[in-house]
Parts: sequence; C-alpha cells; structure tokens
Amino acid sequence: MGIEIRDLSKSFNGKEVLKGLNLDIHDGEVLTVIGGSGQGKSVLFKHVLGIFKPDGGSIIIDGVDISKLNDAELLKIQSKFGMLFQSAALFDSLNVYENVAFGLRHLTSMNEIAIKRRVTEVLAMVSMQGNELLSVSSLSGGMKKRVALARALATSPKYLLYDEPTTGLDPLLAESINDLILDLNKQTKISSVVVTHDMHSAFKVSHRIAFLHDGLIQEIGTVGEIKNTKLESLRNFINAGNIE
Amino acid sequence: MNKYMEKTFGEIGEASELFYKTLHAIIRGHINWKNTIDQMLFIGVNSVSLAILCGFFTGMVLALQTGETFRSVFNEPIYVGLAVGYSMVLELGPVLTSIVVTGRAGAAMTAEIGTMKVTEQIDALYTLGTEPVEYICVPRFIAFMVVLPFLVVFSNCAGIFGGLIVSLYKLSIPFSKYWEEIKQMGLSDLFHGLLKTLVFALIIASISCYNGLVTEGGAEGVGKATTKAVVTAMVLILTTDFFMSSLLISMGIG
Repeated sequence: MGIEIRDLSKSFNGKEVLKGLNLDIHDGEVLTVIGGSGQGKSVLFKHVLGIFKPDGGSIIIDGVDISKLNDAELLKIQSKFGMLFQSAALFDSLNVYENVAFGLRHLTSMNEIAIKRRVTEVLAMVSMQGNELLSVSSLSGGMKKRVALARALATSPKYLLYDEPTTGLDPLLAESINDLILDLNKQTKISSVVVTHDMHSAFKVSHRIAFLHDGLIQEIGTVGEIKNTKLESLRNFINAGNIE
Repeated sequence: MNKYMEKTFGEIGEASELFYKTLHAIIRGHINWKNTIDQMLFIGVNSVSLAILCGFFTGMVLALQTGETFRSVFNEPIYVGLAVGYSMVLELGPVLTSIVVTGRAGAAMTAEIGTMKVTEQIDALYTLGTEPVEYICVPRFIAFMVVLPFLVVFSNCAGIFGGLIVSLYKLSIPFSKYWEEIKQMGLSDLFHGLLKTLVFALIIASISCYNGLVTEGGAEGVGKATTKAVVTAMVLILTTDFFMSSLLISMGIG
C-alpha cells in the first residue's frame, strides 16, 4: 500500500523546516529525495519512522496514520523499516555479528542457529562475511556503512530508508553502495527511499526523484523528467553537482 | 525569565514522562536481564573501591574531629562510636556514596547514552524493534536501585571501621566501648539510610538517562549533557536528603 505523506509540517525553535509537504512512496520503487543541506531531508525520514511527531499533517503507512498510534502500535510499524543511517549508527558496545543479529533477536522468534545463518547471509550480500567478530571501532567508514546495511536488511523489512548512503565514501565504495541499492531492489522488491545530495547516486539508483526545497517537494518525476526540469532552483542544484 | 521557566518546566515534564515510562516498563516485566546485569557490574565494579575509600576516610575524620572536640570540652573523647555510627548510617554513607556514584557511574552513563543519541544509535533502536526506554533506561534504573544500597552498606562498614582505627590508635578508646555505642543503632536507623538511598538511586538514574537521551550537538553536546547531569543529580540528592530526613524522622523511622 506504500507510504503517503500529507501536509506534513514541522518547526524547530520557531523555524519552519517542513511546510505542508506531500509525498507518495509506492511499493517496490526506489524514490530519491534530493535537496540541499538543512532542507529537512533527515527530518522527513525521522517523521516517516515515527521518531519525530509532526506539528501538522499525517503520515500514512500501509493505510495506518502513524501520528495517531501509541508507542506499542508505533513500534510494530517501525519494525517494517530498515534504515541505513548517515553515521551508520552501529552499536559501539556490540561486535559486527551482534549488531546484525540485534534486530533478528528483537523482531523475530528465530533460534540462534537460524540467526547465525541469516547474519552470515546478509553479511555476504554486502561483502562483509568473515568479519563477524570485529569490533565496530575497528571498522573503516565504508565497512561500517556496509555492516549497517546488513543490519537493516537482516529482518527483511518492507521499506528501506537510506540517509546519505554515499556521503564520506570514496568513489569506488560509493559506486558499490549504489550497486547494492539497485541489486537489493531487483532481488527483494523492497521499497527504498534514498535521501542524498549526491546527484550521480540519485540518477543511478532512482525510479523517481523528488526535489525538497524550502520545506516542500517542489518537483517529482522520473530521472529523465528531473534531468529536463524547467524549475530553476532544481536546475541549479543539478548543475552544481556537475552532472551532464 | 519566562523562557527559562518554560524550558525548566518543560524539562521536568519530559523527565517525569521518562520516569513514568520506565516504571511502567518495569511493572510490565519488559526487562532486558543481560543489559541489567551488565549495568549492575558496571556500577558496582567501578564504584565499590571509591565508595569504600570514601567511607573509610569519612569515618576516620569523623572520629578524629568528634574525639578531639569532645576531649577539649569534656576532657575525654566520649560518644565517638555514636557520632561515627549515626553520621555514617543515617547521612554520610547514603549521601557521599550517591555523590561518588553520580560522578563515577552516572556521568559515564550520560556520556554513553548521549553519544548513542548524537550518533543516531537511539534512532536505530526504533527500526530494530526496540523501545529505547526499555533497552536503555530500564536496566540502568534497576541496576542503580539494586547496587547503590550495597555500596552504601559497604561505605557504612568502611566508615565505622575507619572510625574504629582512629578511636583505637589515636584517641585510645577501647574497642568494647566503641562497639557498644555502635550497637545502640537499630534496624530503623539502617532502614532510614537505605530508604533515602533508594530515592537517590532513582534520582541518579533518571537524571543520567534523561540528559543522555536529550543530548544534541555532537561531542560538545555530550560534554554539556554530562556536566548538567552530574550537577543536577548532586543538587537534587542534597536537597532531597533534607526533606526525606525530615519526613522519615516525623514518621519515626531512624
């Protein structure tokens, strides 16, 4: 049924970040939200996850308005999501294996053998097999992102959210993350929402792209439509990214 | 001024909500026992030597000052055992130990939770089917409630022992006399100290967890949150101590 965002507004310390934003995310698609820094892309994600409560408007996930749910009901909806955080957000106190197994232990009734099998499987998907016993502090930035992606994938979520997945990575690693997003979408048909200001990444992985500017989605369309946009602020944004 | 009041009352409200959610989760039995035991070990192992050392020297100095003062007034060091025993068990054991634990374990907890907050680890918990209050706060609340009374008892014993050492070797008070005075304390005196300790444990846990969970702004924010947590908890411990003592005395406890 997908995600519907209606008239979403949010202010912080009197500053209006989202100003009645509307957005639909369809099942099985990769939608990328682009926009400059501080435009509210991460704030939008945190509303979708139910971490932030909206000042106004609604977020409807699979037909349920999550702004009206209590904590327990919300936790069930949140369990449908996997999220790759900008900072990876791996738990420092746990090793790679325990990080990836975390969601499986809390969201499923799998026994330890099945958990081990699934952890090995998802670590292989992100080319991190054999690193199960490493501590998080010993991983490089790229390795952390891949382990975080494995953790997000482990519970087979219905929706995957990627917050700046290629930021801070070298071009080869960034490309491998882009390939992973594409492969995962093809293999699992997971609906993915990517937030980024990396235009190369956006054009490569997206079915549709939405441009967030001044608290609203100013334009939404396919990669071709966005490349040929007439909206000046979007054209400037794309050109600043040095994309043809 | 209005904004300051609004902010303060807002924080009190949020901290109270966190406190309520935590107690609610404990009552419902939503307890992560592995984390709870880890936290008990963290608080206990890290603070036990400090609590004992602190209690030992406090007992010694209490005996020394009381003995010398009474010697100058009454020509002999009387009531040293009583002064050391009551002071330690009713007041100094619970208060000093709680303050030491605030600085040692409470500060470390705020810094750890604050770092989890600014690195989005708390947000990650939501997507992994885990309510942060249950994963983060419940184990720490239980750990403080269980471990702090033990630390206070160790500190009390160390204080009474420290007082004994000074009484024997500095003030020349016989062991039997000192011990007779210590034995005059009843169970209600111990109960008085431990009841206050439980309230102090709740204060340290609430303040440490709350300040950690509302941390913003990277490393600087973690530093500010930690300082704020320690200062707030210490002030609350000292002010609550007076009101709790008044209440317990009026109820005939201790």
